[in-house]
Amino acid sequence: MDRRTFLRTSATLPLAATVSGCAADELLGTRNAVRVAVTWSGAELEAFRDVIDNLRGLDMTHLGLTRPMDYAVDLIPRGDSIAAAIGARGTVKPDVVMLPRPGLVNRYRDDLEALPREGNAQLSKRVWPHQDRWRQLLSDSDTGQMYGLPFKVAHKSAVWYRKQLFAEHGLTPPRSWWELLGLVDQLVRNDELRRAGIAPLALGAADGWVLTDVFENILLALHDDTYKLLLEFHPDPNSESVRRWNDHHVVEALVRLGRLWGRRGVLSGGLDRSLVSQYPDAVQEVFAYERAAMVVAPDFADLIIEERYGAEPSARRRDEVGVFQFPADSRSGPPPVLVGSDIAVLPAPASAPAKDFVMRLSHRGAALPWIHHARGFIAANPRTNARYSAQSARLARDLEELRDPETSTQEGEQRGRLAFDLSDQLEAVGDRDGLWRALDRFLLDIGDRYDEIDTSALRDIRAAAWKVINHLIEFERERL
Amino acid sequence: MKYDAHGLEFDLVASEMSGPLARGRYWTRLLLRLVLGLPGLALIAAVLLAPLVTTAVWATGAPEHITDFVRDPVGRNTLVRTGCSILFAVALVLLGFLFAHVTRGVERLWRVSWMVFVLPFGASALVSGTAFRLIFDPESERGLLSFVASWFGWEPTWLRGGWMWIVLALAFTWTWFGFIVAMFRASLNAIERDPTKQSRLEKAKGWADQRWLELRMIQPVGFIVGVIVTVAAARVFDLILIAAPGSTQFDVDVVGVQWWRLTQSTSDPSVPAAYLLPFTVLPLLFALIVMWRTGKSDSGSGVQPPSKPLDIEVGRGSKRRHLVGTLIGTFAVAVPVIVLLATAFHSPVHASTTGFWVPELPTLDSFARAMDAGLWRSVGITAWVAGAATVILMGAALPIAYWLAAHATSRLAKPAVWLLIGLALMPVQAYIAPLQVATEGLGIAGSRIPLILVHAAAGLPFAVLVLRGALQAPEKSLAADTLFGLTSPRTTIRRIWRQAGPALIAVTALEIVQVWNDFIISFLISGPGSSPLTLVLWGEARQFAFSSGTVAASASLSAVLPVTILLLTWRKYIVPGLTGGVLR
Repeated sequence: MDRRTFLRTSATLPLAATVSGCAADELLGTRNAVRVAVTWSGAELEAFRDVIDNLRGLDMTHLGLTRPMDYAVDLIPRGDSIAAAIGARGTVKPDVVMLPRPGLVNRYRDDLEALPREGNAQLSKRVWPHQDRWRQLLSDSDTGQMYGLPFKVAHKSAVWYRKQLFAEHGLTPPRSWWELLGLVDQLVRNDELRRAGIAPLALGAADGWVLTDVFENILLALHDDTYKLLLEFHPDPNSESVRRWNDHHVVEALVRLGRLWGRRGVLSGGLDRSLVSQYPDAVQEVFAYERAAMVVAPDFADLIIEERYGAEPSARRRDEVGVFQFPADSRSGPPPVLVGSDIAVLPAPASAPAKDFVMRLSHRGAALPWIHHARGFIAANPRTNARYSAQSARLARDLEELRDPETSTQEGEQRGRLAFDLSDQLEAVGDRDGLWRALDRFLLDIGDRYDEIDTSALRDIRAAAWKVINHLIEFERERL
Repeated sequence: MKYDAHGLEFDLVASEMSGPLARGRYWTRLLLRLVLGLPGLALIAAVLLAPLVTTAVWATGAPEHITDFVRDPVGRNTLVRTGCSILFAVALVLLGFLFAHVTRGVERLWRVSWMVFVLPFGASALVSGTAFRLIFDPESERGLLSFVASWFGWEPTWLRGGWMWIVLALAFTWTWFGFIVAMFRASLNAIERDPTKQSRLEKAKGWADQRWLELRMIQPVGFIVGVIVTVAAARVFDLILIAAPGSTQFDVDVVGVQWWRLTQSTSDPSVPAAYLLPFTVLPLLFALIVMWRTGKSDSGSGVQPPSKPLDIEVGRGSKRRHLVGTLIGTFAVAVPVIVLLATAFHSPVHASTTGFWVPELPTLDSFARAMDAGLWRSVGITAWVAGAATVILMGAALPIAYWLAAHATSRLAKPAVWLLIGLALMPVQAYIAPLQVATEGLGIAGSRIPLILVHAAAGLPFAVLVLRGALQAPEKSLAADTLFGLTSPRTTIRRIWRQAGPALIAVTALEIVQVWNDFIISFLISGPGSSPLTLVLWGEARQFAFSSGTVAASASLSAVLPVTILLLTWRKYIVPGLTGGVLR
């Protein structure tokens, strides 16, 4: 037990005695506290707590906040069902929700309150020069009011790999989709690796978003017009499909997905094991158990890796942990940059302290404790001046179009094809019973099955792809 | 006998004076009873009946959703799964009955074993789900069973397909088996103390006949146990959410969970309500059967608190078998406890990559992180909610129970008892959704008062039944007259306490444990974070294996209070209270 733990534990013991006093306020709902619903748990939650403690000491006068932060902040972990916190019926509503799926802001806008005027000003072009993308996602197109403040951004097109393993076998990070398939092929065929029980890929298929992320990366790299087209919704019951699911690029993206997952021996632990692995388990499969060579995981995998190597010399981490960007369609094309974000939103009606809290989160130093101590955080505020880990810094650069005032759009396009997470913006069809379920079944149909992806395998995969598409079309048509 | 004297006619009645003292001013007394009974009646009407009717109206208002539900493979599967889990519960009760025999004749061992057996009953479904997901973790580095299996070169993925059902069934068994065994054991001992029943039993020929006769003799208790366990199986909710990984949940969702998913994805309340129709109708039907059966039974097998240990004689050979059987059972029940505690005392990083058997200096880091996630705050809130709900519950239940006991033969009593049994069997899913709408409409969502009231109301039918059973005395008996006759309020209270004290304590203890271990009511009425369990599930368990240490620490901490209360009250109050005639 280190000193910090000891202090914290001993500090909580007398708390038990006083807790009854506080609870009386809580029972009647009169406690002077801002309730913040978050999706984080464990080390991430701890890091956010440090962020809040740090907020109290920061100078906020330039944001127009002269009064001290004179309220408590209660964190309510909501896990992955956090979106329900906004529209929740009857239940105790949080004052602020840290929404991990920015695409949902539009869906819930009727239940949200716009940011205070100073908040809109803070998000102005002067401070956030490339805020157009945010504006599209977070603002009301009629009034221009912003309904959310980006706090954290996530790079969801990262592939984490074992540097040393790659070096030992003369492998290099792929620069195109076909190179990636070639790399996987090389790894599968390598007898030495097979004897050592090392598979090419770890997959955390127990979490639906992990599956959708891989699919979206492939589609975005393949054809970004189709990616954008899928956002359009035509609620005409007579049309063949209310959304362009049957576009041939969607089919092709699914077939590519099948080529990757369908190969026997690709998935570490096999199909069933992948299906019960969550995203952190997949990261650990690579870096703790060393049974896989790489894993497609967002930048915040950094935190899990940091916990793993925490006690070891930093040189070990430097030699072992590598990251590359999810490959483009071809060597000359731009690679995909799939963006996630945690957005602070205010369920209506918002109290003054809740607004105050959100404004404080926009301070450029707000996220520093998380970035420096826990890792796995890229600040949304372009003016945040942080010391990232080597890998996070590499990924943060890809996001500069969102963050850095100096980057021009053209330069940005070369770095990558930037797009916000698709499934978030698709209403119900992007959720558990839509895309998640369809991809789960797809993986079950084709995963870990074919020794060679030959014509008969491709025929199977294509059939499974159409099953996904038909499920999605049917799903949306039923809900018209 | 009549005689005539000086024009006066005397009539001598040859029986002793009896009957309760009755007061002339009857109306004030009636009024007082009405006023005292009002809170309970209001709670039942407003928090149970009204929402139930609303659910039924929602469901029947759009019959097409009901046919959709039965036709849709997803809906049909959830229904079949729920049916299967109910069948499993019945089988489990029978198994518990048989195992109760194994634990007899080993009184000295049982003095320790019963605590191990009963302990899981005090822990929540979430705790058992956590323990079993830890044991069945498919990574051989972390999961105990996978570790053992890997010695034999066997690497099954426990948390998928058929295995998942076995994991869920074991977790459910762990929670309920000890309760079933202990209740049956107490009833069997009561038969042993009753010479007439004992001799009837000895006359029965063959093993099967004897067991069947026993089952009939202990029928009321058997029914209560069966009903409690069956309802628990039908309303399974949090166990699935915590124990099954996301992708597996598609294959194991039952009605109680699928209903909730639908409330999340549609705004039309009649779609999820269609799922609940069996939940609202079946308990009322079941209550009819219960009343019909218990009306016939030769009940009165109430269990008294043990004064001295019963000396049950079994042959030497079978004594050894009983000893070994009980020991194995005790050990099996203890394993999840050991796994949970051992994991909790590892550091979060260690617990996320290696099993608890890999030595590490015990540390409180995982507990510290659990507290960091706000465990203390929610413990404080829950303590208040549990306390307030219990006080309201007792205040509301006692007058109704008293009235029902005093007027056992009244024409109102039978339908009232039927309704109470039906409500006691009703899974909370059946009435919670309209309450959510109501609390929002009333604008009181910010306080915990709705939560307290719903908890009190949910526990009310069962509490009334238990208290009524304890207060009931044979009609026109001296006991009945002293209890229900005219006395000062103080004397009434004293007499109630003397008659039903243990039952009152039993109900109090069970209500606190119930509120404490509840997930679904606090989650749906007050939102996550309001109770320790919701906090664990929606916080730490999001990344289960990675957060193993914290999840185990939170689960262990949250179980300390209910388990302690249960163990302290079990033998002296809860067993006599529950067997003392809930259905009399």
